[in-house]
Amino acid sequence: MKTTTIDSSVFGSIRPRDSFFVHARKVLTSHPSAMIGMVIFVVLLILAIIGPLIAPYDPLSQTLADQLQAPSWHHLFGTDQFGRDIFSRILAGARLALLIGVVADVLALAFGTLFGLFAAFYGGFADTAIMRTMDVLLAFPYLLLAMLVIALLGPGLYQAVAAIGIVYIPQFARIVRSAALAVRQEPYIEVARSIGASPVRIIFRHVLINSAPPIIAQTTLMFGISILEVAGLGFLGLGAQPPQPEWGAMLAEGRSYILTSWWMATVPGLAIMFSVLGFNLLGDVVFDILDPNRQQSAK
Amino acid sequence: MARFLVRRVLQSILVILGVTIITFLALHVIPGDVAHMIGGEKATPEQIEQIRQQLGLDQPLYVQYWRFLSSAVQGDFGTSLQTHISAMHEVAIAFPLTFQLAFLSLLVAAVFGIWLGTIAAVKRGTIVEGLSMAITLIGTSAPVFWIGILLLLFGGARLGWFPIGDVISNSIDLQNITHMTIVDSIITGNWQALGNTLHHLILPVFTLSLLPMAVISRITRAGMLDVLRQDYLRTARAKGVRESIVIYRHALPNAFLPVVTALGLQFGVLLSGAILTETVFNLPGLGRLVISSILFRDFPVIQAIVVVAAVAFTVINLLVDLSYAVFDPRIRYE
Repeated sequence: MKTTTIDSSVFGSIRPRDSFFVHARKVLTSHPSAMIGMVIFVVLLILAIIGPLIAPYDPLSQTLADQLQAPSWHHLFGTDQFGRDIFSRILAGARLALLIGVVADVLALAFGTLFGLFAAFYGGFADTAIMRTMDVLLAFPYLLLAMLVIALLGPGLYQAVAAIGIVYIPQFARIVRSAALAVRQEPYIEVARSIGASPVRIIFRHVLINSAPPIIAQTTLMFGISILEVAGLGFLGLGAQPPQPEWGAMLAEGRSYILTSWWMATVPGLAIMFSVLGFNLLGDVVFDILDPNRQQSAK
Repeated sequence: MARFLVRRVLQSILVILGVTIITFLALHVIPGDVAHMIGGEKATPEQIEQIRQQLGLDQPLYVQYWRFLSSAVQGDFGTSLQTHISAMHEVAIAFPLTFQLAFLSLLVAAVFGIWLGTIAAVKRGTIVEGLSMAITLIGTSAPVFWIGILLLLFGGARLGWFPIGDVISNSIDLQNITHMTIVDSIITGNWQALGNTLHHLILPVFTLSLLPMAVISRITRAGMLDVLRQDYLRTARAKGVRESIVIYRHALPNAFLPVVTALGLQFGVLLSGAILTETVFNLPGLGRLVISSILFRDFPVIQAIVVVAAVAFTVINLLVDLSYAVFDPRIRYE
């Protein structure tokens, strides 16, 4: 047994509680790009929470007299073909975007973790059956698999979110499985088993907790991916339907007016890009933040 | 090598079988009756019964699957509920156009991605590295359909440099052989058509290639940074080998393996992105077909599209795996 492994695990467990934040701050300040990602995420979160309070107009109310107005002090991002205030709709869309990210993420994470843990822990036939099924799902180009789901459920925002969640289950299952396989070899699992811990307890208390960092890193990236892809489905008319202020659907509406009213398509596109950018930047360092043993690489 | 080849091909066949099972079952997991769904709310019981018989829904599941599979192997997915022509025929016309767009974009993405990644690794800390990182970030974060719209607005409408919509001008007479406009114009030696279709494809290809370009340049950069530290490069330099040869002959080929893997995986992303790009630029192809089929619930066509695309993707990944031996002679499949 290598002494270094023991050292680092003991070191990790007796660390005082606030050290996670201290460590997180160190990682963030040493990666300026991650700091930008963090700022974007926080801004998005705040806008989603207080959006309805600061929105100057109702995102759905139509004022035909004000249609297709260019950005001005009255309408920060202009208005659309029904005279709806685009700034207010972007704010409402921020709330939807976070919701989309959370739901699609949770769906992929829950089922992916379940399948991955099951495959890693039981091995043998269960492992083969589950992982080969995941391979088959990965053989579909992702948008087509999502479209297959939507063909069954019908177009709509919830269906699109479900479709993207399902599409990313195999990715999570693979990551969870390989992380869990690595953890399964650790001596403390053997110890837990020898003192009579039940398989369920071992899986959830020991294996899952200790294979968390790569899973959480994937979860962060998945957040951006699901916003981007649900927007894509919305753009194709297969996701959110008008008048829902979902960014992709707004972009699709703006496409018809691009020659006369550039802001209608430009603003939702920027909103999508910055949100996804935030999660991508953050996802790159989440691994470093969560794994105290990787402090070396963070510096 | 032969044993690996057989095993890998068998594996791919199993995956494709799995794809057909999922595509087939998809029709059966929907809550409610498919026949009702296809017939619509106004369908009479007789019409529903007719649809059930037509689709073979009155048979046991395994019989239905066997029928589905044995006709699918012959390229028969039934007739489109929308146009009443063979579903496979619809796909056979649309798929080559999408494949052409995706393949061309992959080519552009590979060339520029590898070049950008190499430069970013060699010239660390310069403005070139910054530029390449910026392209990577924008490429992975900006929605492909949004970039397409902006390009269409500036390059197509404002500046008028590029034609808007369609893959070749209506006025050009081109004989359809493969349904891929570029291949057809080369085969028939129709250079005017070739120029015309390339002109149409510049903006869509640029749009679609951004994301894979970003991914490829990122992987190339990481691989190159690794290789550049190796001793044999120092040896090469010490021998007085020219810097450009050190980079492109000694370093780059050794950073190539992960890039090749990425190329194969990117093809799936490209097929998906192509659907979005086609919609933005109003190009004929799978995008138009798949969306209209989904909105119409045209299941035979959807099944044909999904199976054809998954088979293409699987075959490409198989080829990528086999090509490892070419790029890394040390790899000998036992």
